Amino acid sequence: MTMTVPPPVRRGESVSRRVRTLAGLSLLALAVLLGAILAGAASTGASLRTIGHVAGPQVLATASLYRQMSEMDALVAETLLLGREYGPQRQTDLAGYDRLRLETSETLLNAYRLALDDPVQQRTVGSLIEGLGRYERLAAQARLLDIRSRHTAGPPPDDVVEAYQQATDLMRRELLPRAYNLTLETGTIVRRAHAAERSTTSTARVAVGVAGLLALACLLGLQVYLTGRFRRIFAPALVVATVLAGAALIGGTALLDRQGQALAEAKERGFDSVLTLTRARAISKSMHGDQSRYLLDRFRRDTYEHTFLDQSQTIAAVDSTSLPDYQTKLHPDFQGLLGSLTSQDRQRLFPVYQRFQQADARMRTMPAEAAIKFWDGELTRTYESYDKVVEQLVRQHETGFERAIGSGDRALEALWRSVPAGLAVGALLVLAGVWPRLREYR
Amino acid sequence: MRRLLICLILLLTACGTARPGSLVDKDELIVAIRPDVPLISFRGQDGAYAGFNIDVAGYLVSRLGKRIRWLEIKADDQLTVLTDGRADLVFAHMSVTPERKKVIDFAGPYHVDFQDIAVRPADKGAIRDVRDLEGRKICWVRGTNIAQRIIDERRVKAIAVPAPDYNVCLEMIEDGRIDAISTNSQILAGLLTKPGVDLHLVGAAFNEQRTSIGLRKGDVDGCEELNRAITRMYQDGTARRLLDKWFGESGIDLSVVSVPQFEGCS
Repeated sequence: MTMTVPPPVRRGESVSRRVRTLAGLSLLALAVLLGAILAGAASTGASLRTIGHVAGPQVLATASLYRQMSEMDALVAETLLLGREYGPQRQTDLAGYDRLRLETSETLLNAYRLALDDPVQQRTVGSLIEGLGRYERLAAQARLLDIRSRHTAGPPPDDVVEAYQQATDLMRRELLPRAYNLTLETGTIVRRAHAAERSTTSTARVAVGVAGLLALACLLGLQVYLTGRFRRIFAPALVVATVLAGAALIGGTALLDRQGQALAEAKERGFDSVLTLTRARAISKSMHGDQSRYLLDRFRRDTYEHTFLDQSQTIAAVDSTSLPDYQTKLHPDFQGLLGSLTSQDRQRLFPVYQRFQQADARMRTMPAEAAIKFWDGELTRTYESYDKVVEQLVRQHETGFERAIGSGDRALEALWRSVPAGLAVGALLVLAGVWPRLREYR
Repeated sequence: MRRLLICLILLLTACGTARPGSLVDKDELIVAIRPDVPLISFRGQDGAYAGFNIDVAGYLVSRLGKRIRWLEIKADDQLTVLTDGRADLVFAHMSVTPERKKVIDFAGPYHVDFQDIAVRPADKGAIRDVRDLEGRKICWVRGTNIAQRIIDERRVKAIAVPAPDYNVCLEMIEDGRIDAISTNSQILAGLLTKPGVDLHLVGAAFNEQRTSIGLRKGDVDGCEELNRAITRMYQDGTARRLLDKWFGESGIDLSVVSVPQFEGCS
C-alpha cells in the first residue's frame, strides 16, 4: 500500500488559493450586498423626492389655480346678480376679485416653474395665462353693461347675461378644464413613479436577500475551511465579519422595508387622499358657482342644473335619475370621488355635504327673489361650512403625508450612515482574518 | 446555489406578471364602433369606415403606437363588449354615468357636446324647447340614456318609444309613430345629412354631453395614456381640424374648441 502525499509546496499553493478564492468571494458578496441595498435605497429615495418634493407641491399649486379661477368667475356672477342696493357688498366682491387675480397670477407663475421639464404641461400653463387675459376683458365688459343698467337685485338684463355667458363659457369650458387636467396629470406622474419604485424595491429586496445569504455562506465556508485546515476553533475577525454581514442583511432589509412602508403611506394615505379631496373641493367650488349662474341666467337654467347634478354625481354618486331624486336619495354609503375615502373621513363629510344639498333643493323651489336672498345667506353658509370640513381634511392628510415623507427620509439617512460603514469594516475584518493564514504560505 | 437561482428567477417573474393586462401592452387594439351613425362612424362609399369617431380613434391609437382592428356593435352592446373582453376600446359617443362607471372605466371625454331635438318641419312652431316634448313621443335607442335624461332628469313627461338604432328612429318620425328625436347635436347633425331626411333642428342646446371612450375597468395605465393623447390632440390642432372637417357645415357651434375636463382614471 502506498500513500500518495502531495508535495508540500503544491499543497500549500492550493490551500492559499482556496483561502484567497473564498475570501475573494466573500468580499465580492459583501460588495454585491452593499450595491443591492444602496440601489434599493436610491430607488425609493428618488420616489420620495418625486412625491414629497416635486409632485406634492405641484398638486397643491394646480388645485389652488382651479379654485382661484373658479372663485373669480363666481364673484363676477355674484356682482352681476346683486343689484345696486347691495353697493357695499359689491365693493367687497370687487376687492376680493382683485385679490384673487393677484393670487392667480402668482399661482400661474408657480405652476409654470413646476412644469419646467414637461413641454405639454408648460404649453397648458401658457394657454391659461393667455386665456385669463381674455377672461378679464369679457368680465369687465359684462360688469360695465351691468353698472349702466342700474338694475335691482335679481337677474340682470339680457345683454348683461349674454356678455357674462361669453366670459363664463371661456372660464368653464376652456380654462378650468385645463387647470383640472394639470392636477390629474400630476397624479399620473406620482402613480407611475410609485409603481416603478415598487417593482424596483421588490427586485432590490430579493437581491439583498440573495447577496446577504451568499455572503454569509461564503464567510461560514471560509471559517469552516480555516478551522479544518489550520486546526483553530475560529478566527475572531471572521466571526465579527460574519456578524456584521448578518446585521447588514437584517438591518438593510428592515430599513428598505421601513422606507417602502413610509412611501406607501405617503402615497396612499397622504397624497392620494389630498389629491382626491382637492379635486372634490375644486368641483364643489364650481358647483357653488353653478348655483349663482342658475339664478342669473334664465336661458341656461336647465344646463346649469344639469351640470350641478353631474358634478354632484362625480363627488358623491348615488343611484338616482334627477337632481331632486339625487337629493332625497343621498345616503352615507355613496360612491364617487369622496366614496374612496376612509369611513372616518366620509362620516365627517357626509352631514355637511348633505346639508349643502338640502339647502340647494330648497333654493330651487323658491321664487326668484327669495331664492337670491336665500342663496346669498343660508345656502352660501352651508357651502362654506362644507368647504371648511374638506379643507380641514386636506390639511390633516397633508400633515400625515409630510410625516410619512419625513420618516422615509430618516430611514434613508440611517441606511446611508450605517450600512456602508458596517460592510466596509466587515470587508477589512475578512482581510484581517485571512491575512495571517496566507502569510504562513509566504 | 442552483436552487437559490431558481427561487430568484421565480420571484422575479412573479413580479413581472403581477400587473393586470392593460391596453398599453398590446400591439393591436380592438376598437368597437357603431357603423350606422352618419358623420360619426359609418361605412363610406368605398366600404371603409369614416367619420369623426373613426378619425379621433385613429389619431389617439396611433399616438399610443398601436394598430386598430374595428368591431361593429349596437348601442346596447357598448358595455358588454368591454366586460366580456371582446373589445379594448369603445368609441360610441358614450357619456359618463355612475351606473356605467360601476362596470367600465372612461378615458376623456374627448369632446363636450349638447343635447338637441329634431322634429318634422310641420312641428317647427310647436316644439321649440325640451319642455314642449311633454306628452309627445320621442325615440329611445336602447342602451343610450338620452330619453331618460329628458323624462327623469328634466321631468318632462314625454313617451319613450324604443328602437334598436337611429335608422329606425328616422323611419318612425317619417311615418308619425314618434314626434321627435333627441340626442347629441353631433349625432343629430349626422342624421340630417342622410338622403331623403327632412327634419328641423330645434337648436335647444341643453344638457352637456361628455363624450368619452369606454375601456375595461381597472386599466388605469391605458386611461392615462389616452388622456395624454387627447391633450396632444387639442394642443396640436387636430381636434379643431377634425371638428371642422365633420361638423363645419352642420350648424353646430364650434366657436369653442378646447380640451374637456377629464373624468380621471382611478
